[in-house]
Amino acid sequence: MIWKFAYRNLLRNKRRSLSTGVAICVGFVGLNLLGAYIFRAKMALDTTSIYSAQKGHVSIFKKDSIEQYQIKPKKYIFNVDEQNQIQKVLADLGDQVEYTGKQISVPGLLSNGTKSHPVVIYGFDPVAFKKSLTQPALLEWAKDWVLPSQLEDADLFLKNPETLSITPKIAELLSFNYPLKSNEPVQMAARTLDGDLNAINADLGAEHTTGMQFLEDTIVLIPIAKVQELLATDAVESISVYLKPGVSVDPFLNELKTKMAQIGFATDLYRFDDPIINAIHSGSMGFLYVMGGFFLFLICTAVSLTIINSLTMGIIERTREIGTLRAVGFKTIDVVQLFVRESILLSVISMFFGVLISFLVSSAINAANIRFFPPGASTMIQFVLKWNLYIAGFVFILLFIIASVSSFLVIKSKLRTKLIALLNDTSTFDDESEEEEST
Amino acid sequence: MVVKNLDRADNYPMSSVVEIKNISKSYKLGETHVDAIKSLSLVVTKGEFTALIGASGSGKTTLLNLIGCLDNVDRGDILIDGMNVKQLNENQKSQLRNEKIGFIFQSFNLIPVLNIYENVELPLTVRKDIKAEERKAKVEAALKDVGLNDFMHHRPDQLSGGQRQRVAIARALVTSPALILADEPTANLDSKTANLIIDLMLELNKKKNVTFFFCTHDEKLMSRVQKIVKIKDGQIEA
Repeated sequence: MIWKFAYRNLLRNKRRSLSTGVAICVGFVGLNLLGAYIFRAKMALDTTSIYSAQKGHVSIFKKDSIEQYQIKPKKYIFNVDEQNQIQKVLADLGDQVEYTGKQISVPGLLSNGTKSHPVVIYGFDPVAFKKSLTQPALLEWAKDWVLPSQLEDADLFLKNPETLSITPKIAELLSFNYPLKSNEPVQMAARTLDGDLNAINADLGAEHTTGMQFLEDTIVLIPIAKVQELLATDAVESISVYLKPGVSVDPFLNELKTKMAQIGFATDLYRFDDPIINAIHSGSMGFLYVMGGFFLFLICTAVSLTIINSLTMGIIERTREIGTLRAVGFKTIDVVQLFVRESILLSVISMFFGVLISFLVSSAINAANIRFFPPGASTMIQFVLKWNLYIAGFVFILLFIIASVSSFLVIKSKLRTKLIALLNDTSTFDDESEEEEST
Repeated sequence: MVVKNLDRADNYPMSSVVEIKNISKSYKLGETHVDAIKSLSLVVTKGEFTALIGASGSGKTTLLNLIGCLDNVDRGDILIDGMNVKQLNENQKSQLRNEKIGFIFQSFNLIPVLNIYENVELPLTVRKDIKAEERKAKVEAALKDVGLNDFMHHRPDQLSGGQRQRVAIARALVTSPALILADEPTANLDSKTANLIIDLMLELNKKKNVTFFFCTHDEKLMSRVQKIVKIKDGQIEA
């Protein structure tokens, strides 16, 4: 009966209910789509960090390596014995670890025989690299950050461990023509860990993108054995740990930290999105969260004020009715419940349409294939809205609470009025307002 | 919360529905202090059909509001069916109004979005002790008592003034209250319809022993009531 009463009250002033409902619906759609955009951006950054940038879910470095490796590389690397100890620890956690990869990087020169360019030579594990590039999560969330040729060439590094991958920008700087000729010789030079200058040949054969404009003229990739040859070492700079689907990173990280503390040397462990090893991820997400929070505040305030305004008008018109309800025995809480239920009903109906509109808008935007350059990115990416039920659920609950609290505040303040004043109110009683509405 | 558990005056006569003991009520209208009720005492017994008369501004409506727990006394006590209103908080007063008092307003105060059945059912919707079947039976009985059982699906705006007031009477009756208070129940009706409403109230009083206490200006009506209380300047004159 009270729900029916609440529903009929919504129909009492259809225009007002409609405008309030539209405000809730638009707020719901806006927050949903904003959430969908941020969610997609986070997932893209997560997967590119883990798989494209080969940081894994967790990266293991020598203690203080991040600050000291460039200065004293020999001291801040894992030798073979240390690598074995780490692999033994990881083997104990085998039920959570899908695979691991080793990396080592060094600043050096890349030459085409006549021209040189300063680069960071990044040595990677070709087996882990292939697995990473074919991860469904990477292809689902960040296909734009992987060149089509990268996927085709994933086997190349396994077949020929001397294959070097460069970015299109470096190809341009060193005047390599497209298509890149397989096995075209290039030279790499760098200081070994002992400080001697060393140079080796490699085969140009693949291309990649870093995804970031400022790195496109810097990073070259080559299987780790070749970089170890250049540095005259069998050590590695870091070990990346890739977790099985469904394994939570933080509990794993804590467990790994405990186990690593028991081996004979100090290590630093980082999540893939740790600002120390991934400033791009934390910076981008920080910006998006601040922007999202600002819009969340604006939209919630607008929705809240619309509901308060609409309800205040409705309550002024229904003052004597509230008095009548109180006179026939409705307690304060009963009247509050009636008005809150009206708000809840309006919110639920509005958000039901909001779900449909969110779905249609996100589908239409995705189908339109709108492409743009994100700030600092090296490639155009598609503007994708990955709308999902978790976001919708969160926004639904948020607006539901806002609607309930707003209506509660409005009616609660009205109920402070003396009952006799409510009954003697000379505002339009609903007999008349409804007649106006129906005409 | 159960109102029935609240204090009951030990010497309260069982036949009294309302006992008013030396109450006073004053208002402040701008700078002016108005004594609306001055040291007034009164007893309304069960089954009485009492009219409260007096000139405009004599305190009729104020007294009715105080008896109906719609307003608070400054001094004195009002006992409704043995319960001292002064000792009740707002929620307990709501429960008392719901269970012990029925209201008939001059302008009917029906809820326009509810049909006649739902309007009459309204006071029962907050009663958790009454089951749906019992509620239905009570509503139908109240509508039958006022002769509107064929109109239960109509909306208030589809009824005449007299019919609307009948609905208001049914709404007041449905909880089987100890007392029905009516503030000028015929003021908004033509004389023929007003007579019919008074006939109905008298019939309910005689047949069902419902206690009515109402204020009126209608002189024709005064000749038909068994007890008249005249109020002047906030005090009972006769």
